[in-house]
This record gives sequence, structure tokens and C-alpha cells, in this order.
Amino acid sequence: MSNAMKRKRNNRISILVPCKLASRDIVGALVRHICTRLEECGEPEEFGYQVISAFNEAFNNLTSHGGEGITERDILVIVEVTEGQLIIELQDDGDTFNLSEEMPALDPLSESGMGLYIMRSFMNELDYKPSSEGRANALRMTRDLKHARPDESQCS
Amino acid sequence: MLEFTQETRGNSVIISLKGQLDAITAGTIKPTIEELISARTPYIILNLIDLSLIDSSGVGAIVSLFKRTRAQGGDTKIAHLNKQPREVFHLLRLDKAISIFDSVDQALESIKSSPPATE
Repeated sequence: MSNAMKRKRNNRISILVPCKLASRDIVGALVRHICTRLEECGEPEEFGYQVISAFNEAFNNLTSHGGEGITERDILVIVEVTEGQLIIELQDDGDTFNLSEEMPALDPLSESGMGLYIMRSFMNELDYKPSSEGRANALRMTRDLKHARPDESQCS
Repeated sequence: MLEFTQETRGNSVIISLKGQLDAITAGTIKPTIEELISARTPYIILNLIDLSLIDSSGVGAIVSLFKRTRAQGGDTKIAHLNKQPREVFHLLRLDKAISIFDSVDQALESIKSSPPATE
């Protein structure tokens, strides 16, 4: 068998939804399902809670940056499971925003601004690339997998 | 989707939340909160037993309620913090700032032993 045939295929799903908060739970259900599957393959119980929390904050963030003059926008969500990572990427054509490289200070009694803290804390990597040369804005979040292998047949 | 009910017991109002408290739904509970604050309700217990999800907007609504009841000399307490909401509360260290109980009865008991709220 060639190396290419031996290589395990990544699992990747893309979904395009209107840029509305109401769309979040539709995609969220998909993310939650994938997390449940990964938990069945060995990720801890809190894995899904943490990933869905980060996803929701990311989606909220994109919907709140409405592109001026763009009446109807979509968000493309790509969810990919590799052998060692869960990657969630959200692409849109809305206004760009600055994603601070630094972890924001934690104030437990703050009434806003905790979204970035949640995303940075619950995911291992967070990367934002503003649109350029015809490409959409892309917010990419990566969470390392401790145990799971997406195509292991022994997962329950 | 968020559903909620409220029940008065003595000087406390118990608000039981069911569903999601997030950017989509947080606004739906605002009028109830405004009413309780205007009525100077001293103690509010949020029963989260059926709350499946919270985001930073939902947390903001709870923190706001907590601060406002405290400013009036009362308090906001949480009962039944589980699953995803527990993860978020723990991350944001809200469990250090707001009193959390395993049951509504325990939260009520703590109020009985608290000094009465000032007018």
C-alpha cells in the first residue's frame, strides 16, 4: 500500500449559513455532534462544552461586525478533524476586526468583553486573517485532541 | 430558546431558566429583571437546573443582576450550576464571586441566615 493510501483522511465538513445569530444554533448542533463523537473516542466530558462555548463566541463576534452596505451576508463554517486537532474556521465578508494577540485581563464581574477570553481559553490556537485579494475574513480556532482518532473503529 | 418562570418565597424570588441564556435570548429576560430591581426585590435565586447553554451575553446579564441586587443591599445566588454553564462560570471565576448552591433550598437556607437587606 502506498503512503498516500495509508494516510488517514481528514474529516471535513463545510456549511454556509446566513450571517444571523439565529443561524448559530444550526451550525452549533453540527459542532456539538462532532464533539460528542470525539468524546466517545476519548476526549473528556468538558471537551464539548468548551468547544461549543468558543464556537458560539466566535459566531457572535462575526454577526456583530456587519459589513456596511452589505445587506445579506453569509458565514462559511468549516469543521475539520485531523488526527490530532479539531479545527473550526469561520469565513465572512463583513467588517474586519482586530483580534488581540494577548489574553484579555479577566474581570469576573465584567458585563461584556469576555468572548475573546472564552475563545482563547478553551481553544489552543486562535488566528484571524482579514480579507485580502478576494479572500474572505477567516477566524480559525484549533483545539488539540488528546486521545481521539477520527476514524478509529473501536470508538463507541 | 429561553423559557423562565418565577416564584416568590418570602423575601426571595426564584427564577428558573430553561434552555439557552445567550446573545439571542438574554434580552427576553431583561423586562423581568427590571421589574424585580424596580420592586427592590432583595434576594434573587437563579435556578439553572434546566439551563443547557450560556454565552458571554448571558453571563453579562447575570453579572448585571448580581451587581444591581448587591447595590440595593440584597444578593443574587445561583442554584444547580451544571455542564456547559458550569465550565463557563468556572473559567470566568464567577463561582468565586457569586454564591453557588447545589439546590434552591440550600440557596434559600443561606438567605435565612443572612442579615436582612437594607432599604
